[in-house]
Amino acid sequence: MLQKTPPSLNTKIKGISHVVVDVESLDVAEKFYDALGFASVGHDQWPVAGAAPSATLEAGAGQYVVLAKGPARNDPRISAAHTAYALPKGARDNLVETLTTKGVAVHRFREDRPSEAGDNVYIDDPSGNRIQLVARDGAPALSIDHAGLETNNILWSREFYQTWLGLPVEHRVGWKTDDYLAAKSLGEKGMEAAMPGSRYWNERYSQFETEKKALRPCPQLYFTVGGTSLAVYLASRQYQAPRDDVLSGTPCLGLSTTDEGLKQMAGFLREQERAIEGPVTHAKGPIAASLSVKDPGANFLEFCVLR
Amino acid sequence: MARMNSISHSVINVDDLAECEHFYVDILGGEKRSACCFDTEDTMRGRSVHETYILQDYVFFVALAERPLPKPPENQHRGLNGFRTAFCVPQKTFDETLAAFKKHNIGFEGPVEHPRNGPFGQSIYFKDPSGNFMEFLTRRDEGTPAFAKPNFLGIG
Repeated sequence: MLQKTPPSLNTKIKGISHVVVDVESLDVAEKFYDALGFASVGHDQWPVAGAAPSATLEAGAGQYVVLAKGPARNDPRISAAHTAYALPKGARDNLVETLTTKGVAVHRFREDRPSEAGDNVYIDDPSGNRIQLVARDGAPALSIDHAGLETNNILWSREFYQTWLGLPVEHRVGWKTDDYLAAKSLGEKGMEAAMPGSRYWNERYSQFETEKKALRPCPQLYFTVGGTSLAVYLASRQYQAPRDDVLSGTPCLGLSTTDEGLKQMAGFLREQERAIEGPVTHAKGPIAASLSVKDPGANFLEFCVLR
Repeated sequence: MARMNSISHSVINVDDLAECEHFYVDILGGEKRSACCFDTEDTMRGRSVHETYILQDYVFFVALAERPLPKPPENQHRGLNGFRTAFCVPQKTFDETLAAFKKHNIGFEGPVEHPRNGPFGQSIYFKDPSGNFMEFLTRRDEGTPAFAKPNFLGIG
């Protein structure tokens, strides 16, 4: 049986600090992210990217985007995984206009989270990594608003994020009849309009059902992480996970904490017999110390103390 | 004649699994044993969305309804919305159960006194968040051989 998290653990997680994404060409990716408005911080200074060449970009509010050269383990185009960046509405709309002029495909995917239902703008970077542009007046330009990850068992992920890390669930999809009715009401057009990875065709094995296929939402959980959010989607397919003994790598989600929080996290995860790497200190770059672990969806996480 | 040992389990429909879990686990003290369609393999096999709970010796599945459920009025606590499930409550903890219901703002009807010549003592009637009617009752024959092996003759 999993133990409850110490009550103070969540208060030590301040929010999303960084995302590391796999890119096919560093040069092409840097130009693309530069056009979006990200400022370059430097090359090959991000510890988690290992030996792979990388470029670090600064997002708003002391957050970072790291582009790591390397092949993607899974096709990001069919995954629900994405990174959402917030920027003021005027700036977002101007950016969309510029991107459209340059021939970048802008998608208006449908999402199930109420706060994202009305204003969805998505683009893919040149490697297919999905980017959502969220209009949020008052937000630092291109700050990380939320990140989306996939899992093959959403209840284990809930146990990890809610029970272990103490992150509050802001919204859930897939637990209510209304969620299924909403997905079904849109029919096949709904599948086309929905964000890839957020719907699946349920090919029933029950013989008594008259309806042999039903369009369903992939169960989703939205956690509050400081001033940011984390969305976890049940993957509609089995995906390639890294080897069990590999605890750090790309792509990766970074969560910022304090020195005390990092120590507490390491102690807690060891008590739970969860394999961890670190904490380790870093001599250069924006991260002073970090701790690597995989979540139940085999997503690489890095708890870090920013310098 | 068909022969059977006992009730194996029941299946009820609910329209909100999270509300259901809170009700059956946190308030009624049940145990959640499994959930289906929250991992990829289940969804790929086309399984229905359901969970399993145990309340004492009663095993029941809660299936997420695919269509809106008929809901009884808010102030109706007794009836047959499909059917009603009744659980025995020890006489000595009946008042405690009433207090818990009041604490959690669970609406109920009762306690209702049953005929004195029958085995049933008192009942309260309530419904789960999806409108499934339920009943908690005490038995006058608690602790007697008749209680250990219920004889339902004469229950009206």
